[in-house]
Order: sequence, then structure tokens, then C-alpha cells
Amino acid sequence: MRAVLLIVQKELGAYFKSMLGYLVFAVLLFVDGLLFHGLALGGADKLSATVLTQFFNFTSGVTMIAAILISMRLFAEERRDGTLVLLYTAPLTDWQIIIGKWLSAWTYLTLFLALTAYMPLLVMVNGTVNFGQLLSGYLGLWLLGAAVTAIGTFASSLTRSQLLAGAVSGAIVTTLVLSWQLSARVDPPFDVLFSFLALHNKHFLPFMKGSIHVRDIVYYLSVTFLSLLLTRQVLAARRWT
Amino acid sequence: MFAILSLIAALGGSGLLFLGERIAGPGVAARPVLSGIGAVLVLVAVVVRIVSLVTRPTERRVLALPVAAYASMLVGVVLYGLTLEGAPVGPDSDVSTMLAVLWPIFWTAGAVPAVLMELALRRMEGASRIEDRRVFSLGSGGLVIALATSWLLVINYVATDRDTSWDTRAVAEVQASGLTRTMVKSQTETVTATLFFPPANEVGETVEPYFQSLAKENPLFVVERTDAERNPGRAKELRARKNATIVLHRGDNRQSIVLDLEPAKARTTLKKFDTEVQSKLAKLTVTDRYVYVVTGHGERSTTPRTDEAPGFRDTREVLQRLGYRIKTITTTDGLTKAVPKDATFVLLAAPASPLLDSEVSTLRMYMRGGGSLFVLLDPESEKDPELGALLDDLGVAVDRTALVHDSTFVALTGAAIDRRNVVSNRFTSHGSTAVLSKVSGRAIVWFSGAAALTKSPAAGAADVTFTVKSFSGSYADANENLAFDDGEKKSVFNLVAAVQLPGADGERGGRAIVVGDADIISDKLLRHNLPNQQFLVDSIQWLEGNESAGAEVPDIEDTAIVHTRNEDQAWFWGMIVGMPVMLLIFGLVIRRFLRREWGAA
Repeated sequence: MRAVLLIVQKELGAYFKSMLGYLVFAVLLFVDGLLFHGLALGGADKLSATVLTQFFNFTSGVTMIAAILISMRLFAEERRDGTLVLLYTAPLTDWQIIIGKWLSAWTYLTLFLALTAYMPLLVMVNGTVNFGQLLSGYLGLWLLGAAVTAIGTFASSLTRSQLLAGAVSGAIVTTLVLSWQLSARVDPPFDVLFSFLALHNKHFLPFMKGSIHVRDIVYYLSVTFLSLLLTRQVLAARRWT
Repeated sequence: MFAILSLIAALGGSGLLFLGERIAGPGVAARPVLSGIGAVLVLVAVVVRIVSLVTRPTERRVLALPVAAYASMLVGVVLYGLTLEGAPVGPDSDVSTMLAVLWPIFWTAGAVPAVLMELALRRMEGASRIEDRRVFSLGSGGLVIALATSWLLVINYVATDRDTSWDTRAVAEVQASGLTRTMVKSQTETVTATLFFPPANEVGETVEPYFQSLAKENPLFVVERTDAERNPGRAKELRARKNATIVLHRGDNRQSIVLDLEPAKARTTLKKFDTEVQSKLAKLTVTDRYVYVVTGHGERSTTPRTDEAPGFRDTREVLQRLGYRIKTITTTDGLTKAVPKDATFVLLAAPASPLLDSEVSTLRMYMRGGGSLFVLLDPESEKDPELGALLDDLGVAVDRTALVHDSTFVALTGAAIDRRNVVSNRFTSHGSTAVLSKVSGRAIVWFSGAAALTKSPAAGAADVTFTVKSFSGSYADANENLAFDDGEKKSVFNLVAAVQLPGADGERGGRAIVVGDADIISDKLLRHNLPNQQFLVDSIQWLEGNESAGAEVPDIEDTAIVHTRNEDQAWFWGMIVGMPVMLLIFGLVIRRFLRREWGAA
């Protein structure tokens, strides 16, 4: 555990010792704020619950993009700089390296999500916030972030180019998001399979509306675990090349 | 050479099998050809790999791994074949269900390691010796991925099938009201709700939890969801012409609700969805429960004319939806003799003139015999001494002065008379207010000109519980000037009484609900305030002997949520731009601090 925490500390330090970490936070918050003001609060009069639902809807998009951006460098950068071999030769298991790197990205994302909390709280100025929905929405964002960060970690392990890693994880996430639309156009039993795989519409929508389902929690944890397992297999295979 | 040949044969064969079974499908001539060739090709992959094993005996150990992988794929294909029509197992058995789970596991557990190992072996073609540990590592890695994927799919299947959820929503899009839940709960025959929706449809996802929540109320309420286009037989059987149709059926009796697959188009119907379901359920329900409404003394009517006092049209509708049949009982048809034996309960709604002695005697006898009576009083109606005798039996006394509250009331007209529209969420934990007492934080019952109730000195053995009390600060407005004067006293008053009479020989005694205000369930208030409807439903349930103490608490009132736009735009903008800027400044400060630290170091 200590080894994992050391990696987390090192990775987070890399974010916050330069201005990059703060800049990324600021840009993401600004974009999220604009969307909040323009989409959630804009337009016709809405109930606070609707404003919250819309906030979680577009913040899920920002979260997915943020998770891809944050995670794409994890292994790709190490390979590009040739420092991955140092990690390999350190007294660390593959799992410790993977969990440490993924956890650092997820922690960074969690900090971003925590910083967005002032937006739904602004609703309290003139409206009523249902804290149950708030909790549910953030739980959904947190789990979605974990899953996408894990997918990004896997993509990052595949290549030495950060850009390519970002593109690969973006493609995987987009496929999983669009599988909801795809499920309406394929025959059984694949319609059920694609609908089940839908990262956003099937599994995140209930969270943002305030409904917490065990099936959705299990799904996000499964995607996270499977992605990290794939990363582990990729790292193991890389030892032979 | 062997590597690429085997891989192409195994994957190509599986692809052909997929084309034959899934794309061509049953009844198409190409199906057996494609599936047959596919299965043979998978077999060929195994054979090719066995040949390679024989030709390179020194590397038998490592080359046995791909053979095992292809064999696993072949087992998957064979198991799949066993589930087909005409096969020994066939498609409709428990074994077939088990095989349907096993064949993809075997196939994946073979395919993933096979791909990884063959790619590794291809790289080593021409090498003096094969790195067996590398092949083994990749093969075992692939097997781990395949088995983990299978395991996760199974876990997810179970999680979906046995899903538990926590609904934290203040306002659900479609939510079953207490009345609908009670209607479902009181069903004695199986009613099925068949939802025709394609998978991954938002409207379907919205209405399904609604029906699932109803199914929890009564095992006789069954919910099934299917796709009309993929299950045309069921759609035809239930006469559902298209998807987005909900059919509620009991035997041959069917009631349909047609929505739209597009959420935007379905929204209008969804807003009244619960009422729509209630009306359809009512048409499905057959009952022999009767409510006898006492008439002939100026009581509030269940079919009021416009020039009359607020009637009970809405109450009649609620009763009908709960499956009651409504009959009237007057002096001419037996009220002076006996209450009919088929009466579930009798409704006495604010008589404006005295009842005959014999009529009161009939009601008293009915109560002593274990009957149920819903008595609604009205301070405006004439004082009826004979009714007083009935109330004495019930242990309740009425002060016919209307209650007033100076600050907490419902502003129905905007005039001072609104002060008589007192409200309350002070409910006792009693069977007749079990649901309301659980949601008292958001359920407020409205009254209009309510009279205070007290326990009668002649209560005797009657067990009287005052279930709803007024807010403190209420007072009986003796001079009817709607203001608090000398001689008037502010206090907490009893508004509703639930009476349980002792039963003879272990039988259930009579039950009565006495309310000091007939408007609580009149058209004046009932249609405007859902908690009043809940009060009516709970009261009826208790009168009939169905305690609702264990009932699931429904969301009976939408939380009032105020909109948040147009106000303090500058402030909002300040926050949205200000927050990121503050963060950057914070980052700069931290960085400068760290630089100083590093410099010092």
C-alpha cells in the first residue's frame, strides 16, 4: 500500500508543482461553469431538480473528457521518456504501478469534481437543493470518472504517444457511449448486450436523476476492474518486447 | 505458417457460424451451409495445430497450448450446437439455459489466448527455438482476461436481475401515488402490466420503474416488458399495435395506454400518467364492496349541481378507483330499519337537517354490530341533537364553532375568510394516518371551516384517538369576525377522531372516522391537495380493516422548488469566471512558495 501511495504522491506532485495542474482545473471549471450558466440555468424557467439533472448531464461529459486528458499521459509519457524501465526495475509489482497511477489520476479528477460543487450549491440561492440527488449525481460522476480513467490508463499503456493514447481511450469511451444508440438498431441478443454496455445513457442517467442502482455501481466497478486488468496484461506482455 | 492458418480457420469459422446463425437465421437456406462450414473450420484449426504438434515433437509442450485453446473454442461451438432446434438438448430446457451461459465462456476462454499465443508464435517463426515462457505468459494472460470478462458479465447479470435501488429524488418523473398503490394492494386477482418498448428506450426506462414499484405492493401485480416488433405474437395477443403501448390485463379484460417512443412527445401523457393508470386499473377491477351514502338530509352530494355546496364528485371517483360501488340510502329505502348487510362502510357527509330518531337508531345498531362509519361534520350545518346521540356512542363531542388561524392558512381567495382554511401536519401514529404521519414533513392536510372535536363525557367503552390536531395558535372564532378577540382562546384543537368500538365475542367492533369538516374531502380541497386524498384513502383503508401502518410511504407531494434564473446575473458570472481565476492565483502562490523553499534548500 505504501508503494502505491508513493506513486500517487509522485504523480499528484507532478500536477501541482507546475502550473499545469491548476491551469487544467481552471479551464475545466470555466467550461463547466459556462455550460452551467448557458444550459442549466439558461432558457425557460426550470425547477431546481431539472437544473441539477442538466448540471450532472453535461458535467458527465466534462468528466469523461477530463478523465481521458488526465490519464492519457500515465504510461505513454513514461515510455516516451524511457522511464518505464525504471519502474519495471523498481521493487514494485505491476499491480502496484497500475493502481498507483490510476489512483493518482482518479484523485485528481475527484478534486476537480469537488471544485464543481459550488455550481449546484448556487441553486440554493434561489431554489431548493435535494441533497439526495446531489449525492447520487456526484456518486455517478465519481464512478464514471473511475471507469473512464481506467480506460484511459489502459489506452496509455498501449502506446508511447500521449495523443494516440488519448485518441484510443476517446474511441473506446465514444463506442461505449454510442452503444446505447447502437442497441436500438441491432437484433437480439446484441441489443441487450449493447444497451448493457452503454456507459452513459443506461448507467449514468439514473444517477443524475437521483436514483442509485446497484446494477450501475457494479457496472462501473466492472469496467474499471477490467480496464486495469487489461493494463496489467499489456504491461506483462511488454516485458517480452 | 501453422499459426496464421489455424487462427484464420478458427476466427473465420466462428465468423461464418455467426453469419449463419444470426444474420441468415432459421428458415434461410444458407444457414446450414454457413454454420456447417464455420464449425468445420474451427475443427480444422484444432487439426492443423495437432499436425504442427506432431511435426515439431521437441516443442510439444509449448505447442500443446494453442491446441488446448482451439479445443476450448470447439467445445464452445459444440455446446452452442446442442442448444439448437433438433439437437439432443434443444432450445427450451434448463440444460439449454445452462449451455447458453457455458458456450460463450468456453469460446472466449479459447479465442482470446489463441489470438495472443498465435501472434507471439508468428513472431518467433524461423527462430531456432520457441520462447515457451513467453507463449505461456501471453496465453495465461489471455485466459485471465477471458475468464475475468465472463465472471464480470455473470456478476453484472445477477446485479441487473436482482437490482436494488435507492430513490433520492424529490420529484420523480412518474411516480405512483398512494391511491394507485392502494388500488394495486387491494387486488385479489392477477393483473399483468405488459410494457411494449424496445430495449434502450428512454420512455420505457421511465415507466418501467413505476410499474416495478407497484409490483412490490402486491405479488398479484405482474410486470413484463417486451418489444412489440420482436415479439409480434404477444403484441397481437394483447392487441398492441405498436411499441410504446402499455397493456394492463386481467384475463380477457384489457386496458391500453399508448405513449410515444420519443420522450419529448410522451411528456404530456406522462404528466397525467398516474391518473391514467388509475382509471385503467379501475376498469379492470371487479368488486363486491359497497359504500352507502346517506342522503335526504341536505348532505353533500356525490353528484353536485353547480349551485350547491362543494360536493364529493372527486371522492366518488376515488372510491370507484379503489373498487367500491356507491349506493345511496335514504329514509324510504331502509335507513329507518337497517343498514344493508353488504355495506363496507357508510358515509354520512354533513347532513344539513336532523336525522329521524329511527335513522340514528339504525346507524347506532349498525355500529354496535361492527359496522364502519365515515362521519363528516360541518359547523355551518344545523345542529342535530339526534346525531349527537350517535356521536355520544362514538365518544366524540363537537364544538360547532369554526376554527381560525391568523398566520397559517391556505389562501384560496385572498380574502380574510381564508383564515378559516386551517392546515395541519400534526398527525398521530394511528392506522388511519399511518402514511401521513410518516411524511408529515411534506404532507399538509387542508381544512376549510373545521370544527373542534373533544372526547364526549359519555364515551363509555369507545376507544377514541384524535389523529389530526390543529397548529398551536388556532382559536374557535365565536363571534365569526375572523379575528382573535377577548374571550377567545388560542390552543391546539382536535380535528379528526378515529373511533374503535369494542367487539362482541372476539369479533371486530365498529369503526368510525369523525371529521370536524366536510370540506376535507370535498371538491373544494381534494383535487388541489394530494395529502387530503391520502387522508381519504388511509381512512377508508382503516375503516375496512386494512391497517396501512406497514405501507411503503409514497411521495405524496412534490417539493416546491423555486426557479433560479435572472437573479443576480453578475453574481453568477462572478462565480463562474471568478472560481477558475481564484484557482490560478492559488496555484501561482503555491508555486512561488515552493520555489522559495527549493531556493532555500
